[in-house]
Amino acid sequence: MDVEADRDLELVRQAVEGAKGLPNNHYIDQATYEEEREVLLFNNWAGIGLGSDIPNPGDVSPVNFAGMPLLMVRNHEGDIQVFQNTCRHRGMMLVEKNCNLRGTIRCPYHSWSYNLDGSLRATPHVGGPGMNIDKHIVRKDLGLIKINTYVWRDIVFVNVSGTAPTFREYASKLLKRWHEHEQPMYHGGPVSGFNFDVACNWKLAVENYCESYHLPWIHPGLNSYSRLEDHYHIEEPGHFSGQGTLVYRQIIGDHGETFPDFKNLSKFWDTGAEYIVLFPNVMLATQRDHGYAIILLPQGPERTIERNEIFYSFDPETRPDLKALIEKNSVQWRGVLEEDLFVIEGMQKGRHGIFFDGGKFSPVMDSPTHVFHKWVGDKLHASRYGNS
Amino acid sequence: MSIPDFEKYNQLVLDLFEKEKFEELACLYLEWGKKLLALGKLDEGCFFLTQGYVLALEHGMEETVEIYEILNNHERED
Repeated sequence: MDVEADRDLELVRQAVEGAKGLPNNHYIDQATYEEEREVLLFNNWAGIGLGSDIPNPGDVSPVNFAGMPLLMVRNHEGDIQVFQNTCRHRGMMLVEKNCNLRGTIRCPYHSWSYNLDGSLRATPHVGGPGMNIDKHIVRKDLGLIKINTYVWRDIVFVNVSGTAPTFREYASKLLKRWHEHEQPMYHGGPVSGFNFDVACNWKLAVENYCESYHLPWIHPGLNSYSRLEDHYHIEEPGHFSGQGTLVYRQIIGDHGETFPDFKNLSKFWDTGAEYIVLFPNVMLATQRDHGYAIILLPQGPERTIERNEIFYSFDPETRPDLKALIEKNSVQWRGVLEEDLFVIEGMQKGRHGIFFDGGKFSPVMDSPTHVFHKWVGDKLHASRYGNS
Repeated sequence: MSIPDFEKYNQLVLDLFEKEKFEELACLYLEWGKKLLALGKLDEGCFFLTQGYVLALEHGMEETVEIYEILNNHERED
């Protein structure tokens, strides 16, 4: 790393009053993207998909996670495990599209076959035609590469490098903060999931989500009931940041119906709601009656897929009377979240301005965003030089 | 070494591949492999049994057990 890049990171890592934002190369440069891929996305617990993407035993779903081919598998016992989606023989991608497997995962090239637990089951003709064993092919050493996997709120998290602490330790501060919501959540079905293909670096979506400063300008519809002064910052340096509101109002259906609340919530949640990014790439909402997750899937330095998924306190299959309200809620959230897209794409365009220096934070209004920038800076610094 | 009924079986194999009827194909390979073993053609028989074994594994078929035992008895499978 060059001296200038190190000096830039030092500025990012300062207290918010004196800090600058991450400079342009962190948004537009391929080499920096690849460094951040390793340090930020692979060394930590990142979201890649949903358990409900693979609802049935034997379901498998390939995921391209920042260029890394992964395979989500629900085994015949119903447990979810992620593997590298690469055959141990010649490196062929194993599964190209979602499907259900009744038996093994068969490589389409030479048909090496893997059990759903990743173990190598068959190596046809490996010792010559009709000879399926060879003393040099030790199957127990050639299973699929397992990726550390944890499912929380139906979100499939992975720690690709295998170097992070357990997920529950990694996310312990958030789990504690939202412990009242540690109860079953149900995806709202197809209407409750929608994707945005956004022309921006994934971090810009995080940065925008963290702060409430932009709400009056970008989401004017919120002003009537959720004013800027009703919001507060949420900052847990090194872990997460975001914003909360004190005036959350439930959506109401055309016949006055509302969603049932999560059980046994404290009074705070009657009107409280929180919107937090669990670093690096999962943006979450927690409210009395529903929540959502936005999983950021980087496609390169300047392109990101946003998966938006809404969850409820009840199984929608059991409440057909709330189907219309679920649809209405999805339309409402989609509208709000779409309002952010021109902002994050605009910031991406702005970062091609060669004189932009990372930007100046408002110490009062931008501190949750700075918490994220400092996390990025600290992680990169530690990766380059150790934890000094 | 010639394989009896090769043309007939080969055409059936191609048809089933074309139609993606892989479970039927696994059974065909099993039948063909056993037939060749009965004729003393060990390598050829195990070749087709292996083809059937992989497809049977993939599709979770009960024939997996039978094919495995044959291959294992001939020291062709662990």
